[in-house]
Amino acid sequence: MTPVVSVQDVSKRYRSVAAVDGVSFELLRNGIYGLLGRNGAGKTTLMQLLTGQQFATGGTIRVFGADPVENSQVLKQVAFVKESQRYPDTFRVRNVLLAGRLLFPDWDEAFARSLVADFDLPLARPVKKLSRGMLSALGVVVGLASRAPLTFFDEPYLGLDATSRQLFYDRLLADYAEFPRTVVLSTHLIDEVSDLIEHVLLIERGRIVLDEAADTLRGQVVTLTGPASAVDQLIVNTDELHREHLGPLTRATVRGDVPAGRAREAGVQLEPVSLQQLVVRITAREAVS
Amino acid sequence: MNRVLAVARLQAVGRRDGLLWPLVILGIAFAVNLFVFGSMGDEIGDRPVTGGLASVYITGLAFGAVAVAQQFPFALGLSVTRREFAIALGLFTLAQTAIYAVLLVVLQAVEHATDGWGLRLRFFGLGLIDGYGVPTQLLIYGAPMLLMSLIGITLGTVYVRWRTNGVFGGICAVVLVLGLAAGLVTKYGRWPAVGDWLADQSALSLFAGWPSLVAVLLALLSWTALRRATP
Amino acid sequence: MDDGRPIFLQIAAQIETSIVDGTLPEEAQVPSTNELAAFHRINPATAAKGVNQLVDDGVLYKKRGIGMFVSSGAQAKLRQRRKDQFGEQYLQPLLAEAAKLGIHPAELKTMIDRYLGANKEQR
Repeated sequence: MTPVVSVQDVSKRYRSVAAVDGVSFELLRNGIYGLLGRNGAGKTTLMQLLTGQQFATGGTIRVFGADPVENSQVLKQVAFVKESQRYPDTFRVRNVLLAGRLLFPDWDEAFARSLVADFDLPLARPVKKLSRGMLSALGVVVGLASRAPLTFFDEPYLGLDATSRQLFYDRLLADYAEFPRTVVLSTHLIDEVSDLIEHVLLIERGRIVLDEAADTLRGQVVTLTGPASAVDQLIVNTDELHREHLGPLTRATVRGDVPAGRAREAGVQLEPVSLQQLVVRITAREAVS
Repeated sequence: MNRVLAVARLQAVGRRDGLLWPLVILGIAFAVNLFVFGSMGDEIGDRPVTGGLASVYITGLAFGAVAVAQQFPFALGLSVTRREFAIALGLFTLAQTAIYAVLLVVLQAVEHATDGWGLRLRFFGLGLIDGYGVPTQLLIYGAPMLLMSLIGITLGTVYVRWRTNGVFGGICAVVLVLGLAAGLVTKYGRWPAVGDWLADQSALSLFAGWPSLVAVLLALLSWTALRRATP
Repeated sequence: MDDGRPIFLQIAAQIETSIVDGTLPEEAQVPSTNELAAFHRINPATAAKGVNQLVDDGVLYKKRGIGMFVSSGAQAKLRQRRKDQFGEQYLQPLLAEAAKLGIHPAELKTMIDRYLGANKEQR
């Protein structure tokens, strides 16, 4: 199966700074991807490159098999909802919906209207008079109703309260189940989306440091708490991500297989690590190295 | 083509408030003129030219700049290509120019027919076009509007490509070049020659030909800046 | 839902539990993957993976165009499997903790009998 997105050795340099640094990965058809990483790690730049909004300094980008830059056939299948999206001063909410309807071939007007009602958006209000949360909600409405075969959400939740965010996740899941597509969620609220995403791309300092199925990661990373010597024996064949001490107790976070039976016999407590913890551990280590 | 028309339509949506205001300003200026000259009665000298028309052309410039500075990042955010945006903006600008040209020619004709709204007032008319036919009149009213729009669009594209520094740098460069040119003309005492050249130009080339040429050059310049701009 | 295992395994385990305790009788229809996804707020693909594992295992079977159903004999089969795992899952940690506290096997048996008695009285 041909991937929806194929990126090979792509870089974006601003003078001496490399925002994206020799990145390669693929996105397959119909999946929810989590693009994770710290602020300034290069997430937004990467998405701008994939949507032809920025020009790569090097490497090859293929979206639906073609270069996305100035490619109308590709771009009309792509929606990019970003926190910093700008709107003309004179535009009202309903004008933005009109723009979505005119520009996205798969736009569903009825779905857009129901989302507008769900998020309580005032259709006649000028966009520049919307609150931060309403502005984010408008982006979410456009992104979901576009039904674009490739949809990016770049931190779409600024100013949205927990209830509205849950609404977003619920609507996304329900619509995705009915109309499968490729969705990329870039977010800091990893715990909130960890059950939604099937695949994790972790970017740190412009490089991909993790490209793995979410379920694979879940089994792989554990925390061991117990006597230092026992912990050390159990983790010989694993990749140690983090270690803390409390008196004679050691807590180690490792990636790899730890035999549960032997751990129990040795009095070592095994605990699963959340995706968020895992991301924190890996990015912290990358930042040191 | 569908997408180009869609973007042009969005330009029109964004401009709806913008289309109204120049007309309101024009209307107010016109009303004030009518009132002032009406109250002066017979004291009016011979057919005054009021210059209220300039407000329409100034708004052309302002909205050209806004059309790029605000619509470009919006359009690209909704997966429009730079090329689609530029073609749509070009179509929209031409349509807008045509509408204003027709409106002004019609008002001018009415003004002419009513002997200056019964007051011998000259608000819409320009003395120098009286001898021309309607097509030429359209060009003479339209081309300066096109030029003003393109000046605005150029400012807008310089802004989206190089931000505020680019705009001020560009303005400085233009002022510098014009100043240098004027200085050179003064130094070599060639102002009379410049005056003669201007006097030799027909109204058509002065108000339609040269503005159109400059507008085309600005359009090319804008596209060069826009094709590598990022939202 | 989260106990650290892959989510598809947790989904499979939950359906198994419903079959073992009789909430999902044999030959009953199982919720669709989209229903499971919406209820647990997880990705539909993940839910499908959990359900498919149970199909491969013979616990569920597919009726084309209708949905998933519990196979006959699934309850007995799953009970037997859980019984087999009971020792490792529950008795081993119990014994390990007892050893740590110095509870003698005989003492442990008395404790168990006492709790069994108490539970009977409650019923």
